[in-house]
Amino acid sequence: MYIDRRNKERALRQLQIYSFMVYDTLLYLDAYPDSAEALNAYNKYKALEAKAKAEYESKYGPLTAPQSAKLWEWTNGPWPWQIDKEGK
Amino acid sequence: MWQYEKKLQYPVKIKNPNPKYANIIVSQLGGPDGEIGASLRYLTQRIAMPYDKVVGILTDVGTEELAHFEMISAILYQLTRNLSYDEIKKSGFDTYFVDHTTGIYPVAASGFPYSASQFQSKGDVLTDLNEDLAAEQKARTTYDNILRLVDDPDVCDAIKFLRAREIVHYQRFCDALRIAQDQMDSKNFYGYNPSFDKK
Repeated sequence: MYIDRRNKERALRQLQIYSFMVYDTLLYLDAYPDSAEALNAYNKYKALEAKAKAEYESKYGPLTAPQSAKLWEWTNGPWPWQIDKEGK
Repeated sequence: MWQYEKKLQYPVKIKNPNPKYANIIVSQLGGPDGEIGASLRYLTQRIAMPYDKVVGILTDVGTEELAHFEMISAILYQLTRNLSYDEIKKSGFDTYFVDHTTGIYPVAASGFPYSASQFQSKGDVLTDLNEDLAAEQKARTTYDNILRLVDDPDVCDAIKFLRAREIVHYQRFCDALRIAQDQMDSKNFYGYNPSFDKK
């Protein structure tokens, strides 16, 4: 149980890092669309984000409302602000 | 349209509840330089903005501010878990508690509810972008002040992330102002307002 939670946290953190890189390069590209360096970084992190998101969702449930589903898991907790009594 | 992602932009995990800190940090939810005002400022201003790149910056920054609104909400929620009546009274959280219990409501630390009178959407390119530059610095100052008043590392970690984003947004609005001015009359930026006047 403990190890499972740690793995879930780690997977989420990795996804947050990729999503952050995507968002920050997206903002930069809004202002500097001709930057090849930024565009390469955007493409690289967008692919890493998609892979990490798919992996996370396959293990821990959907992060966005699913395209299709056999079981409706979208509303299953915890929601992002919810933590347990020990603050985890 | 918008699509929700069931994750925070940056982790918020606060071990120790502290209603006194919630009283202070709530200002970044609904205070004069808070996240919901920031989001509404950019998402309203973008509609009359005549330059596509600047519309993009306003859209994407305004969207990120909604993620910051969610992070501040998470901080407030976690700081006000499992409170005793005694803690509520002693911390000064009682004046918020009486109206909202531990529900999340956008007010300033002074108790003044969120008001759209705290921002402008002026329909003028230069006026709006200068408001945006000032807004990012005002929010950065508020985060500096929060870091002066709060010493819980769990709280400060998330606040430092939000503070850093204000600086990045300021830089993008500097770019936006340059992009706008590049398309205006360099001899007289104020000759006409491209959001309204026909050239």
